[in-house]
Amino acid sequence: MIQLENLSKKYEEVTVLEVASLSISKGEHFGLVGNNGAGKTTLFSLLLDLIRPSSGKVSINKIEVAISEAWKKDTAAFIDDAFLIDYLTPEEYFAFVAQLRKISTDELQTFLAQFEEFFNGEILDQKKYLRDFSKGNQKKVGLAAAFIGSPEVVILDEPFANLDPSSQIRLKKFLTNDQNTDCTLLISSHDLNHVTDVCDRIVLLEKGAIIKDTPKSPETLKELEAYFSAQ
Amino acid sequence: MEYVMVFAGLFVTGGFTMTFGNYVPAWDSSYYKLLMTQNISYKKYLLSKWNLMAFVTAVSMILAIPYVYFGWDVLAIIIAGAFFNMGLGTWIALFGGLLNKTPMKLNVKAKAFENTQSFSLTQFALIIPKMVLPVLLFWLPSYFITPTAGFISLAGSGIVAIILRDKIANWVTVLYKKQKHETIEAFNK
Repeated sequence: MIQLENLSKKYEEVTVLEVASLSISKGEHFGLVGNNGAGKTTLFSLLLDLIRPSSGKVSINKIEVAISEAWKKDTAAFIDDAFLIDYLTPEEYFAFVAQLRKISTDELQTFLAQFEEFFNGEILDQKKYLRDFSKGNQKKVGLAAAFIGSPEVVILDEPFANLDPSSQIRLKKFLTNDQNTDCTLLISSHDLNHVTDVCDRIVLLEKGAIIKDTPKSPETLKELEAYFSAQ
Repeated sequence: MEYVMVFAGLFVTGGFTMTFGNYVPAWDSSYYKLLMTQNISYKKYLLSKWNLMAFVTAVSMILAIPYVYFGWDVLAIIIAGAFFNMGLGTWIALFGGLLNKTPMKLNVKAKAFENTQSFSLTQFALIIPKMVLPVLLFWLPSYFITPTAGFISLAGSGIVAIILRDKIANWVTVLYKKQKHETIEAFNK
């Protein structure tokens, strides 16, 4: 589904990411962990062609992201605030994304209904603009919108950050439910518990290099905890 | 016919294009990453901006019909200018917007003239094609042939550009794509 070849990103002469080869298959739940500055956001930005790689290439569905735009119809992401339109209400924002994803209003309502618990009555019908919501609630809007139209690939940077504990658990439930089993999900997180719960493959980044790439096993969490406490 | 009338005629229908087009894509700077990853092609994005500008230009042209009070030639220059604005003025404005990488803070209560920093020398340089080109298109034929030829030349340039809209859009899209990463980076600040 996603192929990376000789991908690297350098700022001035400092290498912030260097991945010789990485392949993510369809339906895989891919978890990216690493300390700040390890290159997680850089990697996701390269996948989405938001930054220009210093070398190498990325393909989604065999489409090279830097060349064609065809990957956009299968891919959605929520990386940071720049994925939210501040001056819209959540309803308007969802409707805008649904329009781009070619989803009808009825389908959108059905889709949003499943987030009732996650939204906790604080998102819809608030008559507020997105800029007036708390960080956590803004995040909920962005995360839900990324799944509109069931894209094949969903990339989420730090989805659990800024969410309250109940919302984190509800998000985890949503990410691991049946309808998302076919979805190729890429998430990065500082929360080792959550990332090992949601993902079936864990990749550990350190200073821009992959130092560990394993399928999830019962020992994964312990190994990760051991690695991070030794840092 | 005073050539300064060509300027005036362009301003009658081109005001919106000049103030709006010069700030594409800066208008969308705070959510540019969303637009760059959502299911919309760069060309469609630019054409949606073009459609808006062309529509407003057409409405301005209709509203300007009462200028006929000042003579048929005044109306003729306004209509010829409107076609130029619609066909070529829109793309020149979009090209100017591409060079403008200052993010627009739509959610901050800005003081009057605060956004003047998004006015750069390159923007200023674009006044040449925006203003001098239509005057030449009008003046050369009307001086060497007849004034009517001037009207036809100015309006015709716009009409040809409207017919070739799709081709020009492809070309401008290539220019925008080349700048994509730099624009995202600049808007990220």
